[in-house]
Amino acid sequence: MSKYAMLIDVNECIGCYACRVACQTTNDLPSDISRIKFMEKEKGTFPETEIVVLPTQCMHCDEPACVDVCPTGASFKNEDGLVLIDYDKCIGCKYCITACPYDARTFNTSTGKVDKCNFCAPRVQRGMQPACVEACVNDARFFGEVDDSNSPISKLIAEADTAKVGGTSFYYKLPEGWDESLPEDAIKPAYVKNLTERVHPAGKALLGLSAGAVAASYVMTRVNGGHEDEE
Amino acid sequence: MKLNRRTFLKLSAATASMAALGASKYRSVDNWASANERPSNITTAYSVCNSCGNRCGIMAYLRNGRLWRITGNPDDNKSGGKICTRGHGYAQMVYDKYRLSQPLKRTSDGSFVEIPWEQAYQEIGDKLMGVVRKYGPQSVFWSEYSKPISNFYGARLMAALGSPNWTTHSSTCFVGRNVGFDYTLGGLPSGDYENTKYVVFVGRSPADGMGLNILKGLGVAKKKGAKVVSVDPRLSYSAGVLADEWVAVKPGTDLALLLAWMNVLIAENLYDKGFVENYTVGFAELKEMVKQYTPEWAETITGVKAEQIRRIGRELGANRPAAFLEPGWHAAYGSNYANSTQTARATAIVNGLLGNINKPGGLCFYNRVSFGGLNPELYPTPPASPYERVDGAGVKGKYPLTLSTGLHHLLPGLAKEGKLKAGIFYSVNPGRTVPDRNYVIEGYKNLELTIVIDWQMSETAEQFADYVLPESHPMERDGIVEAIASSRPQVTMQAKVIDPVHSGGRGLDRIVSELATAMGLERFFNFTLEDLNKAMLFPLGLFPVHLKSRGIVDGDAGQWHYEFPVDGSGKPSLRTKSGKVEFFSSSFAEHGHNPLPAWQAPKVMPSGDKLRMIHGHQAYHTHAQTMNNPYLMSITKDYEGDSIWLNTETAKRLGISDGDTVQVSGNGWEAKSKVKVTQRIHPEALFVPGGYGGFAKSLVRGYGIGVNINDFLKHDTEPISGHAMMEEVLVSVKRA
Repeated sequence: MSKYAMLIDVNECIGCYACRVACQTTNDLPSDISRIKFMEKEKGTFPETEIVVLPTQCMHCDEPACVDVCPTGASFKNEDGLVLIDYDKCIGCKYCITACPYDARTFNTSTGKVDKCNFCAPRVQRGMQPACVEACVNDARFFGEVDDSNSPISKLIAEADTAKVGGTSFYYKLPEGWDESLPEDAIKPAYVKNLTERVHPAGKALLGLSAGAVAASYVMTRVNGGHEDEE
Repeated sequence: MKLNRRTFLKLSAATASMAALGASKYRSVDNWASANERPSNITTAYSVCNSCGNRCGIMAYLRNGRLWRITGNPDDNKSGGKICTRGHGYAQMVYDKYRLSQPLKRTSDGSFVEIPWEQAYQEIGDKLMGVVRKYGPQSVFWSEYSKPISNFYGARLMAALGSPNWTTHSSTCFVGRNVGFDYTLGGLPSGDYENTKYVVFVGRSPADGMGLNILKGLGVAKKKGAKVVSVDPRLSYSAGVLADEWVAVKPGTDLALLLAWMNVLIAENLYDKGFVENYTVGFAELKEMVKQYTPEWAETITGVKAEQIRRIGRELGANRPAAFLEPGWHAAYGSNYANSTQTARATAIVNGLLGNINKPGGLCFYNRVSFGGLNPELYPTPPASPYERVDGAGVKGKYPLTLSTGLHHLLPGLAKEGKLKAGIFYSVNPGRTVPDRNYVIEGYKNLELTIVIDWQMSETAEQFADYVLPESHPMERDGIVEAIASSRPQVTMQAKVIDPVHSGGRGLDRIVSELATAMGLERFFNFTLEDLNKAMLFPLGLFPVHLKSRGIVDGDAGQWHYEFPVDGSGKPSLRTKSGKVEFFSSSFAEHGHNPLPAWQAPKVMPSGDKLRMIHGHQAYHTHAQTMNNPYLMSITKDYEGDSIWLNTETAKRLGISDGDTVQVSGNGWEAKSKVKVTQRIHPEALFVPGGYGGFAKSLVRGYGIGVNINDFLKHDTEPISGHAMMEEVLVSVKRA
């Protein structure tokens, strides 16, 4: 078991999108679906203008809202801290897309399932870096195990100018004066909180009409086919 | 099952337990990854990226024999193990459905029909020889986006025909820079980025135009405390991210800034006196001239505060010789302004004052390996053409100082005048990338024979080609061996990575050789590309297989030393007339140009609501070549990358808001565009990104997207290096 994290040094991000396309090709995504999004901000008045480019993707939250709302259990968090999707179970209901506070999930029309960053788990399994980290032309991206305090990423995390996105596995280094650009802590949308804290578990099936029905029928099929010992 | 409350709750519990089940099934990263991976056989192959002129070394990953992804070759000094956005996208085009697969011939109704290769060769050969017989070989030209394969085969075909007109894209790209540097430093040096303490980019943006080795070198230098300055009318990603300081110069006035830096370096005795004494000519004349160009004077021209100019001048002097002005590419002095060639000279001269030539952290003339060549006894070399170039490049009284690669933007006019009758366009698209669309298309339509060789359609092919010959994609074919100049010289080659996807496409080597054979010129093409590569590598003790299996091979080109170049007798031996840095250029004087780069204003200047249109690369597009690339165009789409940029204050004055659609007019051309209102651009400039404004219907993903600066330009030529003056244009803008 390892705990993985990613760090983006915004001081070095030149907004070139190399990570986006490398991610797309590595993960066999259609050209119009990207797991990485880019937020560009400017401040100051000409010629005292400053910019930052802030790439975001799945932050691999500690308590992921997407997992809470997933009606089929397709989205889950594993022991390594990765939020993953079991594609056999994903029914494409898109609840997770609306629940994600970071807009990190997209619907892949070619598969009919939801897509998002998995920290390139198949590469990480082989001891490789995620494709976005490997591809970054200006060495703005870092990835590794945070359990090991001697790992390069742990050392970067320990530096004073590194900020954690609260409740996630994501860290940023921001230029001076840009602290407010740090993505908000992982806060679950109110309806997800309601769902998990108050009306759970029944609330899940009440989330919406069509998707709820799909989910229910899917579960019913499974239940009917399984061992149900009625009272 | 009836759905009552009880069963409903049970269902929900089942859902929860299934979620738990899922988690337990894929507990660790390993088993999820294994379950989600296709069974596959991964192999790798080395090659060279073709997506721009940088030619970075790559590693291609194939999955079950199909190209999957590429990375930079870590051994390559140019890519440093990285590959840019364009490279990733370009490689995937090998499978694109819009690739050309069969030769095309234009029919009488203007459409194209597919024809077999043999018919194409026969018809083209007959017609081309007919033109040569009727009008002479000087009426034929070759035009290319410069690549090693066409540098050889295109030039050789022209020589075989007797034509002097082998031409590259240089006059709309970098010719002003090269001529300026050639007549000052005797060539174009490279920055010693890793060891520099202070570097100034005058116009060039390595984060947008892409210079992977520069990014890598700056990364090393910055960690050691180096300072990076970016001179640019726009806060590019280089100015905004890489640089410590942005000098927001008024577009077209960089020359004034450079003259002020000369003034500061000389007036404050910050220049390298020993170097100037030993290795330069014309210092006295230069000193006299720049007396007048104080930072205060430059402020009135450039809009940059005198104290900022003076401080940077002092910082350059304090950090010399590990300080340099980067030699640039297209932007400030490649081919944009009436003063560009002299601005390039001025950039080179500031470097001379800093005495940084072949110094650690300065500008270096690195070694490159010397290749062999074909044995002329076995493979006869076509004689050089006895004719002068029709475009006047290298011709007395026309453009004697410019490069032998010619002035391709002049060719349409020469076709209209009847001086050119047939042309071959290789991987170049003047229909979109040369200024003044109507001039280009109407001019080239006068040709009796137009052949386009490319792997995709283009504005050029659609508008005026008679024949379109499909080249295979670079991933499908070998190229010519290449030398990489560096402190550690290297040799590499583009190598075939996958079997051709389309059986119809052929490599340029084969197309040219077979066409030459159809014209009875086979004696000059009695060798294969493999023969040629073997002959070139012979003196190095290498074979193509070494490059294919290792990607990059270190070449022995002698030990690199940080020493000013000297000949056997110890005399300075830069490749200038004097062997020294020429502050004063007697060659320029001889041909009626100012031997010193005195201040010269651009041809047009913004005033009132007339703005200067400027342009520049995006990191994710290469000119118009990538306009049909689905990966790269989806970036444009997602981030409105085709928007033009307007300064916030200017926009406010004109009643324009961010995201508005605006109408841009200038030189009789009008176009609509979305606008990005930003503090990142000079108030007198309007920025047009990349190679948009596609009007080739077959390039569906880029058709009608964005605007292109070339449409707002009128055909024009600067007199020294003969470039196309691509930012001498004023436009007005209003809400559409």
